[in-house]
Amino acid sequence: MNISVDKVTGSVPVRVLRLDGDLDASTFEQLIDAGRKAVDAGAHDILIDLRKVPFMGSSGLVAFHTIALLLAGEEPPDLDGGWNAHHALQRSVEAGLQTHLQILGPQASVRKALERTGMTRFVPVHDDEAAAIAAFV
Amino acid sequence: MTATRLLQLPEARREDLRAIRGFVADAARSMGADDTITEDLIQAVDESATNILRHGYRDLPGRIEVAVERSGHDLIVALRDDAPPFDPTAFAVQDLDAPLEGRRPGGFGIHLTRSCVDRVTHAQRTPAGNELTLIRHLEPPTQERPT
Repeated sequence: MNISVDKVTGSVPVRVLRLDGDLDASTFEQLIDAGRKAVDAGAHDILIDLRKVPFMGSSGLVAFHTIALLLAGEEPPDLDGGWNAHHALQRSVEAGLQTHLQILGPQASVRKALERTGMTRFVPVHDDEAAAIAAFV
Repeated sequence: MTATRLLQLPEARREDLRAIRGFVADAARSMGADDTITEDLIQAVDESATNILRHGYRDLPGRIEVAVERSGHDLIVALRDDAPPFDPTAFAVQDLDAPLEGRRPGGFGIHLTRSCVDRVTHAQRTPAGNELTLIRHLEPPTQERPT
């Protein structure tokens, strides 16, 4: 999977992580690393562009959750903890929507995975990039 | 029953997940699955194989065998490994609307697997290992699939 990073400014500066390739257990740590670097560089808002991601496994959900926690200034769960990461994710999904991490353009099968796991209750999902950038306030 | 399509990976690791998904896609389509069913099977097999690699083999290379066959109106995918016993079906069905209190733990991977197929069974193999079987009907479900 390739990840490129853009800086876009709407109401606030937004870092856009553009993914190209499958987001699965062999690649999700790349996304976490890119998110961590963005946060370390001062990003407060991140948009993840999934338009070129044909497949996403549940590891992708763990990556989204980890980046959302980093943006909130919280320590993410140990990824090697297995279920612990998933349980932390469950709790965050139930805590409701956050807005510092948002998602752009998931393909149908990826959107289905987001919906089936309740992830859309935690991360706003957009089809249009301009609307996504405008949603960060 | 159709001839079984078989993928054998003696030393599977996470980087092989893409090949596993490609194999399942080809096999399912050749046995009559449409795009929706193929996508669901790919998701379920990916989640199951990831579980084997992460929790069964603890990220060390290990044997995984994936067998796909059609029986009547069912597509059946069996994943076999030599890992210590691990039964993902023992985890409770996730109800994302239920309060956390009183719920048994379970991962999103297993939840996704269950939501993509009609039946999941686990058997411990002799002398060692696991066989996870995923069954997906090719006909439209009579009830709405859980989401």
